[in-house]
Amino acid sequence: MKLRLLLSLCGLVSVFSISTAAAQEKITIEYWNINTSTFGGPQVDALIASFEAKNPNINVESRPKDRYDTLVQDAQTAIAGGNPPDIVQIGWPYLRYTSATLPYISIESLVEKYGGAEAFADIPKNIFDLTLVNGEHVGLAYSLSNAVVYYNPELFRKAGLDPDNPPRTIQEWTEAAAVFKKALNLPLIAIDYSGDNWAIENLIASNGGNLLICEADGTFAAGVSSPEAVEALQTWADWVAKGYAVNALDQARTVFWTGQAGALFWSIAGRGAITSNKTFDELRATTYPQFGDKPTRLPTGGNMLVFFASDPARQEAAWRFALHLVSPEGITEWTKGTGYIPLIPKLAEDPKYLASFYAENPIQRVATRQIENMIVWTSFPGENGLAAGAALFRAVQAALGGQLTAGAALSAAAKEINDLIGNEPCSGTSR
Amino acid sequence: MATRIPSAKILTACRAWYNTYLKKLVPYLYIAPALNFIIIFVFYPLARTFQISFYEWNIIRDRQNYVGLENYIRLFFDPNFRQILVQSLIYLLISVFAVVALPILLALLALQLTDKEIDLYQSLMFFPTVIPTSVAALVWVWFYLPTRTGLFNALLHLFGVTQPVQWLTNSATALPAVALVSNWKVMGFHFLIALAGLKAIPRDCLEAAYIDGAHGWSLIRHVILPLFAPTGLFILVITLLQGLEYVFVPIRVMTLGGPANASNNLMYAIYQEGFQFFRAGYASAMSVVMITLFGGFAYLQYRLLDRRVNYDR
Repeated sequence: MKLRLLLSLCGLVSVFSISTAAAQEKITIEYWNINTSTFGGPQVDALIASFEAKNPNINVESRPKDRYDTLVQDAQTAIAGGNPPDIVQIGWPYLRYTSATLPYISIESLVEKYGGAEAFADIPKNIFDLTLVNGEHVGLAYSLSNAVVYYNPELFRKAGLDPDNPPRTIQEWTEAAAVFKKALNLPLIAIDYSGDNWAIENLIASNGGNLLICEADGTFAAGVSSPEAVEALQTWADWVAKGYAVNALDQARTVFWTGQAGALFWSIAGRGAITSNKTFDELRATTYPQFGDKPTRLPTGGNMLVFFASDPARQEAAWRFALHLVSPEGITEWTKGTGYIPLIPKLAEDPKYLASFYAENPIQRVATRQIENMIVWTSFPGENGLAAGAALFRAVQAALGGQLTAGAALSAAAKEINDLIGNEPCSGTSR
Repeated sequence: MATRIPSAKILTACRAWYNTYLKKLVPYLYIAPALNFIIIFVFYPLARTFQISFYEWNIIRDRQNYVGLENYIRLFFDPNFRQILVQSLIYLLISVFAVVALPILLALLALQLTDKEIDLYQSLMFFPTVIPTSVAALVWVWFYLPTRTGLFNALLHLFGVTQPVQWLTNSATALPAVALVSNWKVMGFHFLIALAGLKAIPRDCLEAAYIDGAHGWSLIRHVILPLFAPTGLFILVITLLQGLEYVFVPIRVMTLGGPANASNNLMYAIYQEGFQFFRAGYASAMSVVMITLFGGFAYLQYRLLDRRVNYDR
C-alpha cells in the first residue's frame, strides 16, 4: 500500500514537473546587428539584459557583424539555408533590395498578429514611414543618424583658425583647409567612407543633386552624372589632390582621433566611438556644410529592424524584443551609448529620459538641429541594385584617387547603373 | 516432385557468378567511400556551378531564369572583368617572385648557417604564418596609415618625404600593398618547405660533385637545383593554384578590392558578385572561367615542367 502511494506521488510530481517545464520552455531568438564591441555592442548587451529580466522565457542572442553588407549577405545565406535569423538590423541602402528580394514579415502583419501599435504613437510619421515600400512597412525604423563635422579645437587654434566659429559652407571649409595645410602641413578634412555611398550622397544631395531620378515614363534612372553631382565629387577630389583632405576609407576616423586631421565628416552615431578613442582632450562638432546658400540634404543613416522569424513563437518573441528596443527606456539607452538620434525626438527634452544627457553632450544637439534636413538614403532598386551601388562607389574611388575626373567617373557610373537597374518603376515608395 | 540440385553444383555456379560479376566490383567497392565523398563535395558543386552559370538567380529565389550564354557574353565585354583578370595575373607574378623564388633563395643562403642559427632563422621566418590573416591585415592597415603616424610614412618622413603616401587608396600602390601582406604571411611557410627540400639532398651527392670540381653557381645549377626540382615544383604549383586565395582576406580587410577595382582579383570579384551583389549566375560564369584558366595552368605545368623534374622513383 505504502509502495503504491509512493509511486502515485512520484507520478504526480513527474507530471507536474513536465507541465511546468513546458510552460516555462525558453524561446531563443537571434538578433543580428552591426554593433561590435566598439560600436554599440555594450548597449545591445544591456538592452538584451533588461529585456530578458522582464521576459524570463525569452533568450536573445546577439550576433554582431562588422558591416551592413556582411549582415545582409549572411542573412541571405541563412535564409537560403532555411534557417533565417529572427530579427536583423538592415541598413537603409538595402531597403529596396530587402523589399524586392528577402522574405521579410511586414510591420502591418506583425501588428495584426501581436498588437503593439501604441508603441509607435510618439514616433514622427515621416520617420516611421522611412521603411514604407509599395504600401507596407518592410521593417521598423530604429537607428537614425545624420552626418555632422567633428573637429579638434586644439588643432584649429594651432593653425590659427577660430574653433568658436567653424566653417559653415563648402567654400569656407576649402579656405580653412588651405590655411590649416599651410600652418601645420596636415590635412584639415577626413571623410569617413567605406563600401557604401552615404558620404558621397551627403555631398551630392546637399548640392541639390539626386542619386536616383524618376523619369517621365515612370522608371528610375541614375542621377549621378548631373552637374550638381559632378561638382560635389570634384570638390572632394580637389580637396584630396591638394592635400586638404585625407583619402583613407574608414581609416579616416583613426586619422582624426590620432590628431592627424583637424575635422572628420562622419555620422553622429560615431560620437561614442570618437569620444572613447580620441587622443586629444576636447571634441566639438558642427553642422554639415552647405553648398553656398543651398540647405543641406542629409541621407538618414542607421538602420531598420527587419523580421524574418517564420516560427510563430519566435516571431512573437522577436516582435516583443523590438517593442522593447523602441520603448522610451530602450531608446534612451541606445542614444546615450551610441549617439543615434532618438526615434522619439521629445525624449531629448524629457528630464526622465535624455534631457540631462543632451545638456552634457552639446554635440548631440548638432544632429538634432539637422533632423529637418534628413532625407531617405538612396537604395538602388531591383535585384541588381547592390551592384549599381557598387558602381557608384567605384566611381567615387576613381575620382578621389585621381584616375578619372569626377565628370568622367560619374558619367561611366551613370551608364553602368542604368544598365543594371533597367526599367525599374519608381512608384510605390516613400520617396 | 521437385528435382534436387546437388549442392556442389550450386557452389560452382555461385563461384562462377562471383568470378564473372562480383569480383570485378570489389575494387569499386573499396574506393566507393572516397569516390562518393569527391563526387558529392567536389564534382557535384562544380557541375552545379557550371549549370548555374546559364541562369540568372539570387540564391534564395525559387525561380531561376535561364539566360543561356548571356552571363559569359557579359563577362567577355565587361571592362571591369578584363581589368580583374589582368590584376589576377599580376598578383600571381608577384607571388611567383615573393613566395617561390625568394624563399628558395633564402633557403639556399640559410644552408650556409650553423644548425642553431638555422633553427632561429626558420622560427623568425615562420612567425608571420601563425598569425591569423585578418589580424595581420589589420596590423598592416596601421603600417599603411596615410599619415605621418603610419609606419611606412613615418619611415619615408625620416628620408625627407613630407607628403604621406595614401597606400591603400591610390590605384598605383594598392595592389602591391595588399600583395605584400599575403606574401609576407606565406613566405615563411614556403621557406620551410624549401629548406626541408634542400636538406633532403643526399650529402654524398654534393660531396662527390664538389670533388669533381663543381663549386658555387655550377654546383647550384647542375646538382642542387635538379635534385631540388620536385620540391620547387610543388611550391610553384601551390602558389599558382592558391595565390589568389592567399590574398583574399587582406583585400577584404584592407581595400574591399578598391580603389575602383585596382586591388581586386578573380577570387574576390567572384565573392563580391555571388555574396555581396547576389548574382549567382554571373559569379558562376566567372568561376567557370577561373576553373578553366587554372585547369590550363595545372596542365601546362604538368606538360612543361613535370617532364624536366627528376623524381627519385
